[in-house]
Amino acid sequence: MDMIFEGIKQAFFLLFTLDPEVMGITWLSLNISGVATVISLFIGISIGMTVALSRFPGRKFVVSLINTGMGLPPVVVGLFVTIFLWRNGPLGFLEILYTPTAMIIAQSIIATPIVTGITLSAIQHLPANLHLQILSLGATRLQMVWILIKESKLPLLTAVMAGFGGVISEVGASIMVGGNIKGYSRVLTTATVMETSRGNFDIAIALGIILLLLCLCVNVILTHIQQGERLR
Amino acid sequence: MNKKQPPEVLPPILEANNILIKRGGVTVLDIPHFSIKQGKHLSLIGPNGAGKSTLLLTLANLLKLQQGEIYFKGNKIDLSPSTAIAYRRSLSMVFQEPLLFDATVFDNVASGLKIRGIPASEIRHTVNSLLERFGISHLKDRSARKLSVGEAKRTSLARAFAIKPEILFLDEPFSSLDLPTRELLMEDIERNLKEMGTTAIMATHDQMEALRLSDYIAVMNQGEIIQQAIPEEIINNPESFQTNANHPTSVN
Repeated sequence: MDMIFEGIKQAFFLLFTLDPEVMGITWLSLNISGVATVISLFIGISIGMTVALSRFPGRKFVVSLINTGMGLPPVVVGLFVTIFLWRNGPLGFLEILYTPTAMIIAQSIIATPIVTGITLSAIQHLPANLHLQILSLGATRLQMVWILIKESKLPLLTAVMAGFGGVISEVGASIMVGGNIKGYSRVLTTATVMETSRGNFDIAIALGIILLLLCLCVNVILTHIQQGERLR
Repeated sequence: MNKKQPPEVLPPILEANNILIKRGGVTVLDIPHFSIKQGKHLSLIGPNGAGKSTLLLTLANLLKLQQGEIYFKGNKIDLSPSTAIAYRRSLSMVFQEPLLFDATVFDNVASGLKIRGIPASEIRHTVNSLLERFGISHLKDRSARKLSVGEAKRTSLARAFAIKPEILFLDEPFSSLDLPTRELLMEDIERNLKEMGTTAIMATHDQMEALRLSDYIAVMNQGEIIQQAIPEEIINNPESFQTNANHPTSVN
């Protein structure tokens, strides 16, 4: 119990004293996961919309792939991104392995199926003829997509929360493609793993609490927006 | 155009030839020829699955044409996005469900105008006048989620008329309405169609609606138009069991 109490004390100490290393790690975590979430939103919403509004042979199989992708294990993503970015790999010439860019790529791959799946479900739950109604009002395809996004903004906020939550808390891919390099690619999850393995439980607990608070803050803001919209 | 000419000699505003739509190898629509003149009102009647809604969607260029041609004011509607959008911007469609957006009544009625990039002051003027016409001015700031079925239908109709369509497509506009609301709404549509001179094509199950609102009636069955004539002709000389009131499966 002392260890946990010490950890909590340490967490608040690090927070209140604005410890530069912890602040740097927190900022990098937010930055990498934020950028990855934005990228996954662009790709995921586009794919989700396209699949939801199209009819083509093999569509059910594609939907199954998307649903499977929603539970994509981060370590598997980390493994394949590492192989692709490895010096001799197909994208080795980019020389971005063990950089925040590689971490963003891996996290985008993890979040994209989550966003795609939720978008697909959200659009499929809209009235069947809504997209035809929008087109009949004279909308271009782009205007129609934008209106459909606005019409499904509540579930799409869930997609943002799920996507961000999925990547800010993952550790497998970040360690594999980021390398946990101090001051460069060390994020909250990888730092927590490292401190735990060193037996520095107080710092590990502190980092864990900061991670939880971060997730809580982001989700409180998004939930506030979502529930405000629902009650409007 | 040519307003001094008697309506009967006007060229068709909308014409379709050799329309064929198949789904899973089954023909759902087979229309060798269809046309409607400017300012006229035509009803499509027939049982469920007759192809009424499919024909409306096809004529409104909302369904991909597998075979055939559609002409609007003599110009062929091709598959290019620019032609399709220009054509769709001259029509309006009201579906069976109101299909309102998650916005206020005002914003719903304004949606077609906003899509066209009309200036805000013009939108305000047009929308307020339409809200007045359909008796829903008092609901302008209410969320579309909080409307009754009748109010939602009125909003949907006001949205359709707001863009001053040259052709209005109505797909079962009075379904799921109680009798008094249906009667009031029918009066509103009838009055607005006449006042605005809008050409209208309506799909309905109800012969009485068709008789009241139409200059012509087209009877459909299994994807084909089996009879098209003025209402009196349809009543007096029904060409098939579909229009024979004594037949148990007749449209009533």
